[in-house]
Amino acid sequence: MSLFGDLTASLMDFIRRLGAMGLFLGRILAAIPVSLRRFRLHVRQLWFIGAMSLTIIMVSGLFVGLVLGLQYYTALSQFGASGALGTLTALSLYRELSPVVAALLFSGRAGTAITAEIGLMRSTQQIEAMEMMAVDPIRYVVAPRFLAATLAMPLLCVVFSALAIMGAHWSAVLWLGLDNGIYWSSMVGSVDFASDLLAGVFKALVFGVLIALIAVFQGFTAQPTGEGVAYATTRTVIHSAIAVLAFDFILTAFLM
Amino acid sequence: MAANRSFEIGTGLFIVLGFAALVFLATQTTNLAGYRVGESYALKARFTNIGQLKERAPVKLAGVTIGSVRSITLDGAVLDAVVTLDVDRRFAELPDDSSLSIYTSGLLGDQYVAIKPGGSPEFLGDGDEFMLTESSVQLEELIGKYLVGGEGGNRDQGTSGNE
Amino acid sequence: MTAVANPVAIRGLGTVLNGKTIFDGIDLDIPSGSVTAIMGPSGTGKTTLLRHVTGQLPFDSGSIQVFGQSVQDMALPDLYRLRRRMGMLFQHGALLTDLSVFDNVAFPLRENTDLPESLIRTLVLMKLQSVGLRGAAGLMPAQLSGGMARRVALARAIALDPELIFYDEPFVGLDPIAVAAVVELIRTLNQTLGITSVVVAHEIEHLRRVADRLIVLSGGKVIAKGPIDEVLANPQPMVRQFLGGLSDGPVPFHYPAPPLATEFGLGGVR
Repeated sequence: MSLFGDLTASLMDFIRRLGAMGLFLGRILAAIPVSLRRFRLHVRQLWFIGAMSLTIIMVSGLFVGLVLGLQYYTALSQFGASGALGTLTALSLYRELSPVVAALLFSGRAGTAITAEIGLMRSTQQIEAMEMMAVDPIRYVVAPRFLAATLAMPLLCVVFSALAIMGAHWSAVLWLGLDNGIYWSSMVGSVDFASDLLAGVFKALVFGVLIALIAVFQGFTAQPTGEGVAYATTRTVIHSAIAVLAFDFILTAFLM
Repeated sequence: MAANRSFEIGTGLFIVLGFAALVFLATQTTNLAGYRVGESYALKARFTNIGQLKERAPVKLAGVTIGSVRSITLDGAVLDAVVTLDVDRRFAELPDDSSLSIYTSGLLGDQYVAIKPGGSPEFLGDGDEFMLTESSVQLEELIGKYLVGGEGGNRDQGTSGNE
Repeated sequence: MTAVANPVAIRGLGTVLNGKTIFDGIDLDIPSGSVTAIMGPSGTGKTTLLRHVTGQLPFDSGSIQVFGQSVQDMALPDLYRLRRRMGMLFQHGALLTDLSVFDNVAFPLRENTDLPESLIRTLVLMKLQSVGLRGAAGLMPAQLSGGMARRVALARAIALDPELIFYDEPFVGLDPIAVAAVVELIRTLNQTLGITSVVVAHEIEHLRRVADRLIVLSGGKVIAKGPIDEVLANPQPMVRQFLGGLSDGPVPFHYPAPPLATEFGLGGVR
């Protein structure tokens, strides 16, 4: 009975948070057109959120590619099908691995930074100070970060893929001796630009929206204490991971 | 304001890098590779069976890709598959007695069209049709023939012969 | 921009936060051109009161009028228009950490006006001059001491030439020299520009130098208000306890609890 009551309560709480996030998203979207007049703010955020995440994305992409090259070569050569390595590598990267892995890394690198920064501005009363100066913090602080994170995600996903393709080339072709021509031509023959590569980039865009919304929402609604900001940062990582994986399933099932 | 400038340059480079990566992937690893408009000419061929051949599959001569499959249609009158190929202009001198086959790259790979050049002094022009074609080899048929041990008769015989 | 006798008028204000009654029927007026101090024990909701007045936190009952306009049920754009006529000095300054001192003071001007950059520069340097920190214009907030940060925040608060300024705990954590500077600034701004000022604090010795009216809050009610000398002479025990700094009195030293004997299980002994 009390278990049932607890479940109902936490379900209601979940729905209430979802609603609050939906309303928050509405406020952000409404603020974006005016916010774009301060274009410098957006450029600055794209630098901090996007460009500063490049290192981790590129290094991780390279290693994921290296591992895929080794693993697929071992598995495929058992069936004499190592000619399909390029196809398999490219398809698994474009459709699945790049958007998801890049999104998880991005939520850890940039999502937490956004939450911590906005949370700190909240706890040092900078957000309140803006409100008192008749400046809407949604417009000045939240919208630029939201937009930058949303746009950075697809770009980072593509960079991740490119590095991984090179990594797999390195391990499968240069180390294990797969034919260079077969590696590239097997991709060309079976990877579709729109339904594989662009569909993956679209996934990354959706993940970008999710992570951006979760990060700014957690930061903006953080308890204005050091502890509150720490909790909010942790929640950003957890909620982002769950949201990304759940939406990955939904998008794969219905769109791809 | 100098700091602002460097942010802007760095951010611009980031966006350029993203699009460069997209162009690299699109032209090196997807069907957009080797897709050149206006530099190719069309050739036709009829097959009784095209197997798993798909549009945009590569067309190869001596293993080198020289074009791609533009379209696959069914000729309702003769009940043949009509395959139209786009071949690069640089390879405009194909003898008109060349033959076509549909092969599979590797055991499980995708299918492609292979051109075996003939010896005629006449060349195929835009819109011409290949005279000699060899249909796709169906794995199931091969296995069936092997089990029956010859003429590829019906399935009942095949299974009883095996017992 | 009509002159109102009382820029802030509060009637019957009632607030319940998380089940706890913060205000229980508060009536008070802030007369135009005055420096009014609001005092009270910690936790009486002095900061909450400021947030009600500026429309940042909704309240449950009663009414608050600022410049003759009621702040509850006011649409956000109207509220922002109203806030351009108010300034607020936050407890620790609340400077925007990623902007320089100059850009912090310029921020409300750039965001709320279409003034040319050259004019903004003049205005910012004038405001910084008035708090004595024109030389610090190029510094970042992290490089400032607590007192300097608060003076920069004050320059920012007066950037839009407000008619009403709120000071939230302006003396906390400052050394005596910095306190003297802030006291001096509050008085100067009030006298030279005629800005109505509300100072929330609990340091009586500083308030005596700065305020001409005093309001004492306790237990969600106004327990004394009026010209500062009258309130300081008020014989009420609760006012005396607070002003005299006595640990026990009408405001109890002990948080409400069952008798000690009951707590220790000695209830049946007597």
